[in-house]
Order: sequence, then structure tokens, then C-alpha cells
Amino acid sequence: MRIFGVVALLLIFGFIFRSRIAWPTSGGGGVITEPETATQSAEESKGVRFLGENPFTLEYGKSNGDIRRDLEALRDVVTNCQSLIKNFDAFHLPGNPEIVRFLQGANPENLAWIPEEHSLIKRDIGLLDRNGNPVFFHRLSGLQIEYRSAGADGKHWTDDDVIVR
Amino acid sequence: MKVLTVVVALLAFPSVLFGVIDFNGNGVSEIWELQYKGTVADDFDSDKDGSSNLAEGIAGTDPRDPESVLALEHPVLDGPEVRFSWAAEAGKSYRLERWDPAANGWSEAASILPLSISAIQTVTLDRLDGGVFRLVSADVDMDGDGLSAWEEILIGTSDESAAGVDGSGEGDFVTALRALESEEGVVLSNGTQLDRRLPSEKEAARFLLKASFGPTDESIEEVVSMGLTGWIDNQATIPTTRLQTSIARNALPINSSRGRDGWWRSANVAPDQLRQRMAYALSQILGVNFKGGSVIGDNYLIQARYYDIFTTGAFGSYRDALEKVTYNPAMGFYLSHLNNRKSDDPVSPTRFPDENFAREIMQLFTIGLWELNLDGSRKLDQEGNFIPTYGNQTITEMAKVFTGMSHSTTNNGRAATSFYDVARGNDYLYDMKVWDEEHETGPKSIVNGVQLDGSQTGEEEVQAALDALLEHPSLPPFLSRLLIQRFTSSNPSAAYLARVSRVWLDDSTGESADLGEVIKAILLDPEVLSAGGHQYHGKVREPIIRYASLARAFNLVSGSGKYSTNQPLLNDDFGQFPMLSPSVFNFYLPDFAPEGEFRMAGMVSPELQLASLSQLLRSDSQFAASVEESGVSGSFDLTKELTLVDEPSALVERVDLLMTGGRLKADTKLMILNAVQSEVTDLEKVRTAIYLVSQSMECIVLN
Amino acid sequence: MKNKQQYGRVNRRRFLGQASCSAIGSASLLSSLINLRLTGSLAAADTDDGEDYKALVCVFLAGGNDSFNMLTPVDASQGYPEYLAARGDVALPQTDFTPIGDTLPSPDGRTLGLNVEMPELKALFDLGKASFINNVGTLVEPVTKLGIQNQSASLPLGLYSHSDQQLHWQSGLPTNRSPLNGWGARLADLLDDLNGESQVSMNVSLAGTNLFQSGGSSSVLSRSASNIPEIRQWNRWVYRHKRAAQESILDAQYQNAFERSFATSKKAAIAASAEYRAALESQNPIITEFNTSNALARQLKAVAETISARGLLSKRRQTFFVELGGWDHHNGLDDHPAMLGQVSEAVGQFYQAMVDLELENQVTLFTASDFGRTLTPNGNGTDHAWGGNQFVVGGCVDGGKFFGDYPSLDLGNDLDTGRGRFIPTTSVDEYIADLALWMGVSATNVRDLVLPNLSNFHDVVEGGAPLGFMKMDG
Repeated sequence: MRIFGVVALLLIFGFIFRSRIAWPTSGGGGVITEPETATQSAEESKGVRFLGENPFTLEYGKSNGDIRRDLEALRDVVTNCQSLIKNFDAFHLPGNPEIVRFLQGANPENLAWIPEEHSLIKRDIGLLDRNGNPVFFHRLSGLQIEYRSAGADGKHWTDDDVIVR
Repeated sequence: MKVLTVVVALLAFPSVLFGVIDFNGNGVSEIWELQYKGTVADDFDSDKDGSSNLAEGIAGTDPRDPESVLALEHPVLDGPEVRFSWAAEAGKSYRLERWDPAANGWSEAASILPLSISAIQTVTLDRLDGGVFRLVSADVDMDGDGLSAWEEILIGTSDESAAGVDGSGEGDFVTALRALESEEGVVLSNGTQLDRRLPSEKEAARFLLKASFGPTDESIEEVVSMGLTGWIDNQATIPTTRLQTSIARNALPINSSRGRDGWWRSANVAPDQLRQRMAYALSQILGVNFKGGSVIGDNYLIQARYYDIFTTGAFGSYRDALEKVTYNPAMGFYLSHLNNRKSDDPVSPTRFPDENFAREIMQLFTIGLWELNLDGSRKLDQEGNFIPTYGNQTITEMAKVFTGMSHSTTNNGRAATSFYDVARGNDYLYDMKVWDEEHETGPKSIVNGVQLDGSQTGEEEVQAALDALLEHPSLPPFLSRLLIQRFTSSNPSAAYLARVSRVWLDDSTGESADLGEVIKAILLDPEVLSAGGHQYHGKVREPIIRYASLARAFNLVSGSGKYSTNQPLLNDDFGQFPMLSPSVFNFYLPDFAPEGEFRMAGMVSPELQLASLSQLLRSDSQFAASVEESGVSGSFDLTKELTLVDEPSALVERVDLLMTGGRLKADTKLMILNAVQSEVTDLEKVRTAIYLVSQSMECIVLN
Repeated sequence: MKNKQQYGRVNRRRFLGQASCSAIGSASLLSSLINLRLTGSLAAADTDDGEDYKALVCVFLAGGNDSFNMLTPVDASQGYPEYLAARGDVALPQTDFTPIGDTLPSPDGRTLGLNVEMPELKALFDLGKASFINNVGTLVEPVTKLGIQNQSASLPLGLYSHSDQQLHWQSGLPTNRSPLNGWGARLADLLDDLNGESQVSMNVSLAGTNLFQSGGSSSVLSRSASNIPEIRQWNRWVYRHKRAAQESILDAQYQNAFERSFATSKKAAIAASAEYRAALESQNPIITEFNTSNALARQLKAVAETISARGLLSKRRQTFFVELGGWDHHNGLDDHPAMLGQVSEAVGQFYQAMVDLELENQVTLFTASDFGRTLTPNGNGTDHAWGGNQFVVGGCVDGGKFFGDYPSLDLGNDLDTGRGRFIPTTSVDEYIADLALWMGVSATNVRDLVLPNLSNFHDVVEGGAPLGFMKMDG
């Protein structure tokens, strides 16, 4: 009986665990019928459509990564955003935090790549690198952005900066 | 009543437009010259029959046999009529003309189409007035395949159809040339055995200027021994040198110029030169700019994958190439149909599918703006206006077809599960797919009058759109012209263009047009193979090709075995560099005409769009610097040239052969010779020869 | 809530045969220009019969000049405290500025100061030969903060990015992703008829290819400060035999039209280079001293020399483009004052050169830059912003004045889109229009051909010069 109970518990935990991971369905990140987190259902109630797990949500700031990988994930998500919202360069997006807000759903399509709440996103500052320093979004052209982290020394424009284009 | 007769065998002007195998451009078929080897088609009259050898060549008679000659027999007066007779050669057309004193010119009294067998031909006219008559013999090319009827009879092809009876898809001209160049020679229908006709070194070099990135001793030798047709056939058997392979062999540091350096290596040393030229030409038509600073620009693997559509597909079907381009994410990124979404609302949309790719696939990649006849001329409607191939509405409808296209992989190669999956860099190496979740549904009226009823999947609709484009009648002439402009001629004649267009349509396998046959038709055409031609014959060579020719001719070898090129500098100097066209419209417009005589004559020269003051001076300076080996990566192997310094005219001849196909005019050669002889050291003499030949008009222009 | 702009990358391409729906095609501007020239129907003002000469010199400060540390409020009661509060660590002490000009008209009442590193510019201002145009920037249409917030405003493409903003400043086509020609080129095409026969272009660039002068039919002569373009070693003794051969190659008769055309073009290029060199060499050297270790001064010296040779080059209208880079001061503004000093010195020497040539009333120099910079620092330096301050120098400038509206520097005001990025109150079109009119382009052509976006701000046909900083009778 005890074993049965343990197994039952494991099964229950397994179900809970599985439902917390967003397995992408073939319909893509459409209207989510099973909200994974409270924040995502909050987004849904604002009419913002979260497009599903992506390199940013999966990797940014996570334990087995590093700053470079973080910025590459960020870059790829922004690139995806630019290809879905093809007039990206027509918007008022000076840098961090505006671009981040845009990716959180503040765009005419109401599409979101980045969740509203994130441990490395501070309202009014925007996205931080995993050391807690703001990421610098250097706009080179309408679409091309250079993503800069201050690196280990926490100071921008020093030699240990991590730069991703 | 006097009836005088005169006989003239007139050269139809210019003979190339009539179609004749005529390497030396004298208006006499090569077949005739081969039949009567030893007799030069000049003003001399070998058999003293009153007709010069040249005239006999045009008339198709035997210059060694006085009985064989074009002559009117005495006219026979018969009541109210007069009869003229002569011995007509099979395949020649004739005109009987009468001198009209009032008009002070010859007017046509009768015209006679070619016979299929030589026979006595008779024409009867009303005797009314006497007069002076003359007989004119000329060639005809009824089926427009580039061979005259006279030649077709002898070779055994038909003047009623352009394509071979063997179903090879090859035009008759190529078939005839192949016969002349075949190892055993060829037996003509009149029983004469012709020895194998192989090109001279000059002919070989001139051919290689068009069919490769530049002649070398080795490649000239190949063409001379295999023949033009043999060489092309052989090129198709050489394994493909992919750009990816050249990049790997270069083993240069990983940076965004790695791809372009790989291209430079291929141009220099890849054995499949014709394939490389074709790939480069296709990359200009189906252009993507890989300049740095975007996800595709800084990734040489993505560049190579895109460009290798053209290396691997250079001799295959155009539909295949177009399809691969359509599904390639680099193109999707460049022309923004990657992640192109359907309208936001079927009834009252505020966001519409992006039209960029839909427009360019029509305007630039397949059919152009105007409906065309097979010979490239624009079709006219009832009022004499040009007819557009599509309107704005068609673009909108086509844009709906190219919706839902997005990456098929995510996370660097794992299968994507949704249209929205974010791609990492390497996901651009996998073709896109059509995701129905973002594909615009509903019926669509697309190009070429094709209706899609909306019942098909997105994939099926994309395929249907590609089919519709490939079937459009304007496609063969549109693309033929673009390709001809890359290889041989900026202003192909209507006849030349029609000959190439027909090859697109003539594919007897039923599949879409085969680029291998098209390139053959482009390179092996009477307009191209004949020397000389009218003043708008030929084209200005692309600077980068001319530069590569320099490297090839003199064996530019890099010490480390790596071929790298200072692409930013060359891009500034020449105004072009592969895979870096400044816009989807390529380095130059197909219809660019410089001010002055070109515009007035309605002729174009795309490459002259790269002749700004800055580029003219800088490209010359770049050649000068490169010949002196400053700024070029590697050194030239000038061994052979150095052995000729004691015979400076032989030196100049050699350089001339390698760089212009031996076309330098005598005066220019003399000038260059003077400069060469004024130099002191051997090395300087050789360099001077090379530099000055590289700046001669004969090297800059392909003819 | 939706952005009203037509979706998609319609503007990536030129408009060849088919009309595009909304955006202005730069190719259609060019074809209009060509048509006008061919039919000879340029407006009267474009082809005046006077003996006058005029030249425009564009000084491009690439990277985005932090111009709120160039021209700054210094009054103790309001202006300077606002500045100090906003700029924090990158604020300069009040004593780093020299008060300049009149107090701003009421209700403003602030006094402005010019960075102390720019004494030459100050002197020109005081002499009435220089003026500032304040808070000028790229705009498609007038814009409010609300319009930006609710995303209803139509904005220049690629706002806040270097390359796009540089293109907009140089083309006047802010809705165009890939503009093909610059306003300088369009202006030159309208005025080139005033010039005499010469192989040398009326447009000279000291800084390489630039959109400002590109894309027209009048071409550009591109040179460096120290070298004029020519074939390598053309004038050298060691090259003489090759040169003889080259010349005879180019002089030969060619049957083939391509050969003929290329030879003609190359010959013309060589002739242009030679003509230019000869003109420079035979002109009396300019006596004005230029600090040749100042990169901008070196370029402006070459400009002065070319202007000096205008007669030999048969020119009555010329455009010049010079550039100084390094203004993208994200990393700190420590070297910014010195760079301002460099600009001031070079401009001062250039103006003096014009005076020495007695041409100061006929040459106008103006600055342009990608954008201004954020008032607030990012830590060390400042980031990309929008409206900024520019200046013009010349004898015909209505000098000693401020044009446009110097914004309040209190953060969060109606113009502040965040961090002190100001919505421009004067558009680039309005700024350029004054210069184009002064150069002699008719108002109609300014409206229709040179600055198609101007009509969103000002009716130049009815209202004349938008800002009025050029004295037209000068």
C-alpha cells in the first residue's frame, strides 16, 4: 500500500511538473488553454498573446548559461520579433527599456516574447544582464542592434564588455 | 529588245543575323570553308569561272570546279514571256532583280525559296520590257535556329524546326557544331567527309573569356583539344565545387568575409568553371545582399548554403533553383517573406501580407514588367501599348500565397512546432516551410491568369504559384536576356534572343527549362562565335570577372594556399562584389544606358553603370597595384612570360592571347610594345605588358 | 492603437515602372528632375543670370553630437539648474560656457552659453556671421508626445539608429528605407546648368561616398584631404611610358561602341582629375592658416582651395561634404569639449579663408548630425536621442541669432520622450529649405523636388523660407 501511495504521489507530482512546462503544441503559442503561470494568464487578460517558449524564456539568466549566450538569445528573439512585425523600424524604440516593453506586448500586434515579470527585468530600466547591470541596446540601423553587457566589471565600454550583434 | 543579265552572289548583311556557322565573320559558312579546305574565300578566282572564291562561298558553289558556279543561262525568249534558268544549290534562296532606271535601283522581279536538292531552277516573267537583270543568292534560316538552310541540308538537321530530331533539347546550331567537332569528323549529305574542326587558340581563349573566369594555358589547351562542344560537355561531368567546399579548403579565420574569400577561391581554381560562372550569374538575378550586420550577413554558412543553390543547380532546372530560393530563409529574410503572416481579419483587415517577395519574384526573378514575345520584343495591345504582366492586384494576391512561410527548425536544428518558433543562427540553414496556421486562406487570382480555389494547403499553393510563373510565356525571353547579358552580349539581337528562348520551351523531357541547355545555346550561337559584328556587339566585362581573369591568367598563388581578397577595397574600386549587391536590383540595371550614343541608339550597357569617375580611376589603379603584387594576396607566376622578354612582341602576343583572346588591334599592340621596351628590368617589362593589356579596351570589352 | 503605416518593406526597393501606393519614391523625384532639365523648364530662380557664385558646405558630425553640451542654458535662475538636474554626471560647470547672444524671448527668459572650447564660433556669432538652429531633427510630420505614446504618430524609419538617421539627414526622405539620392544631389541637378563646361563635378566630397551628394546626374568628385583621385602614379616619371601607352589607347578610334564609350568615359575621368589638379595648382595658394593636425581643418582647407579655383573650374554653384566622426559618446563625454574645439577651430579658419578670398557672403557652412543625445547619462556617457542643435556660418547668415526653439531641459516635459530625448520642434526639412532657397532653387522646386516632405511643416511657396536664417539679399 505504501508503495502504491508513493507511486501515486510520484505520478501526481509528475503531472504537476509536466503542466508547468509549456510543451508547445502544434498550434503554436495560440490562446493558451492551460495557463502555466499566473503572470501569463494576466497577460492573456490584457489581450497580449504570448508566443510560447523561446530562447529568451528558456535560457536568459539561467544557471547553465553565460552572458554571451544570454545576449544571443535576446538577439534571436528580437530578430524574430522584427520578422513578425515587419515595420519594427517605424516605432519609437530608443533602446532599453522601450524595446523590452515592445517585446513584452506593447506593440500593435499584441504579441509577446518576453514575460511581463522577469527577475532580470526592472520597470523603467529594462533588461539586466545576469550580473544585474542594464543591457545596452545600441541601435545601429533600423533593424540592426548591438547588444552590450558591461561584463564582469559592471562598467560599460570597458574591455571586458560582452558584445553581440 | 535587250535583256542583259548580271549575276551577283550578295552577302546578306550582316550574315550573323541570318545564321551561319562563321567563325571568321566573312559571311561564308564554315562548312563551305571546311569542304574546300585550302581555298581561301577571298577575291581570288581559283577555278577561273568568273566568280571569286568569296562569291562562290556565298553562293555555295565549288571554287575549284569551273562548272560549279552561279550563273544565269541565256534567257530564253518565248512569245510574250522570257525564261531565266540557273543551277540552284540546295538550301540557298535566290532573288531575280531587275534594274529600275526610274528608281535608280534594283527591284525584285522574283524570289525563290530554297530547294531541298540542287537542281536547275527556272523563272518565267512577262517579257514586256527588256532590261538588266541580276541574280542574287543568299542564305535563309527559316526556323531561326542559327543554321542556314544550306548548312542544315548538308549536316542533316531540318530547317523547319530549331530543335534536334534526336530530342536532346539542343538547338540545331549546337548539333551542327558538335558534328563538326566530333572526333571522327562528319560526313555531309553530299558524301563529303570533313575532318574534325577544332578551335584555334584564339578562338579558344575568346570562348573562355565568356565561359569561365578567364583563360589559362591549361584551359586553352583543353578547348583546343576537345572543341567547344566537347569542353562544355566535359564541364558538366566535373564534380561540383560548392562554395562551402572552397570556404573549407581556404580554412581562413571565421569572419563574415569567409564566404566571399571562398568565392574568390572558386573563381580562381575551381575546375568546373562554367558552372561557377553560371552560379555567379544566377546569384545576380536571384540576388541577396549578404553585407555584414544582419543575421544572414555575418554568417558565412548561411551565405554558402544560399549560393550553393546556384553551384549545384547551375545546369539543372530553373524551377528547382527558384523553388529552393523561395524556401531559403536567407531570401526570406532579405525580401521579408520569412514570417509573413496572413491578414489579421478576413473581412476588414488592417494588416496585410507583406508584398515584397511577391513583387520581386515576378518583376526580377521570372517575368519582368511587360509581356514579351519570344524574341524579347514587347507585346502590344490593340492600341499599340505595352502590356503589363501583372498589376497591383496580382501582387496582393501573390503576396497571400507567400504567407505562413517560416523556419522549419528551431533551436539550431530541432523540428519547429509552430510558425512563431524563434530561430537560432543555424536554423537559417534549413529550408522554410509553409505553416497553414498563418497561411492566408480563400481563393486567389494569381499571375498568368491562374485561379487558386482555396481548397489547397499552403505548400500546394506555393507550388502552384511557382508553376504559374514558370509557365508564363514571358519567362523564357525575360530570363534569356538577363543570362545573355551576363555572358556574351548586352544587346542580343532579336534572332539570338529568340534562339535562346526556344531552348527553354523545347525541353523534350517535359520538365521545366534546363539551364544546361540554355547556357549552351547562349555560348554557342552564331552571333557569339563570329568575329566582329556590328558596333553594339558584345559587352563591357564585369570588373570583378576581369580581375579574376588576371589572377587566373598569371596563376595568382597565395603562399599559404588560401585565396583571400580584400573585398571592401575591391567593392569600392569596382563598384561590385559577389553576394553584395547594394539592392535586389543587382549591381546595375539590365536597361542601363549611358548618356550619348547608347541612349540615342536605344542600346544598353549595364556594366557601364559601374563607370563613375571614381571607379574608372580606382579600378585602373587597383589593376596597377595588383600587377605589382601590392595589396593582392599571393604572387603571380610569371615564369613563362619572363622567358619571352627578349622577344617583346611574342610577350605581348602571349599576354594578348590570355587576356583578350588575341584581339588587340595592331596599333594598340605597338603602343604597348613601346612601353614594354622602355622598361629596364625583365620583371618590369612583363608587368608593363600585363598591366597595359589589362587596361586596353579589348580587354575591358568582350566581343 | 494600430500603427497606420503600410505594413511591410515596401520601401526597400526603387520604384521602376509601377506606381507605389503611399511612400515617396526617390526615383520618381529624379525622373522629374531629368524631365525638367530636358524641357528647360526650371523656374526662374534656379537659373539666375547674375555673376554670383554660391557654395554650400555640409559639415557632418557622424555619431550624434551631444549638442546640449555645446549650447547650453547658463542663467542661474532657471536654465542652468534645469540643465544640471537633468544631466547629472555629464553636466559641465557653468564656467565651461560663455554666455552668448540675447536672452531667449519671454516667457522663456533663459540665457544660453556656448561651450568655452568654441571661441572661434563665438566670435563669428558675435560678428553676426553665425547662428544656431535649435532642436532640429528628422520628422515625417509634426509629432506630439501623446501621438508617440499611443503609437499614432508617423515617425522617421529607424529612429534612434545611426545609419538610418544619417540617411534621413542627407536625403530628406525619412519614410524611405533605402533612399537613392540625397537632397544635395537633387539640388545640384537643378543648379548645375549655372555651371560652365568642365569635366570636374560641382559636388566634391572629402569624406568618401555620402548620400547627401549621391544619386543625381551631376556626379561627385571624391577625394581625400591630401590626395586628389587619379590613376596610380599617373604623374610620376616612372610611369611615363605606361602613360603614353594609356593615352594612345584612349585616343584610338574604336569600331565597337562599348570600347568607344568606355574609352571616352575613362578619358573624361582622367581629364577631370587633371583639370582639377591643374586648377588647384595654378590657383594662388590660399594664405589662410589651417591647423593641419586638425582632421576637419584639413578637409576644409581642401574645400577652400577648391572654392578658390572655382573660376578655373567654371563653377558658379558647388556643394561640399566634409565629415568628422567619433561623436557617439556612450562611453563618456571627456573628449567632447576638445572635439567641439576642433570643429570651432576648423570652422573659424574656413571662414577666415573665405574672407581672404572675399567670398564670405557666397559660401555657407552648415552642420548636420545623426541626432542629439540623451540629457540623462547612462553612467558614463550619453545615448542616442533625437532633436539637437546645429549651426550655420557664412556672410549671408542672419547671424548672432537663435532659430528654432531651444527646449526646456526639465525632464518629463511635453517634448521629452524619455531621458531628455526631445521631439524636434524644427524639422530637418525646414532647416535645409532655407539653405536650398539661398542657393537659388525656386520655392516650387524646393517643395516638389528637393524636399518633398517639407509640405508637412511649411508652405514654402506661399510662406517663403521656413526659418529665415539666411539673408537673401546677401
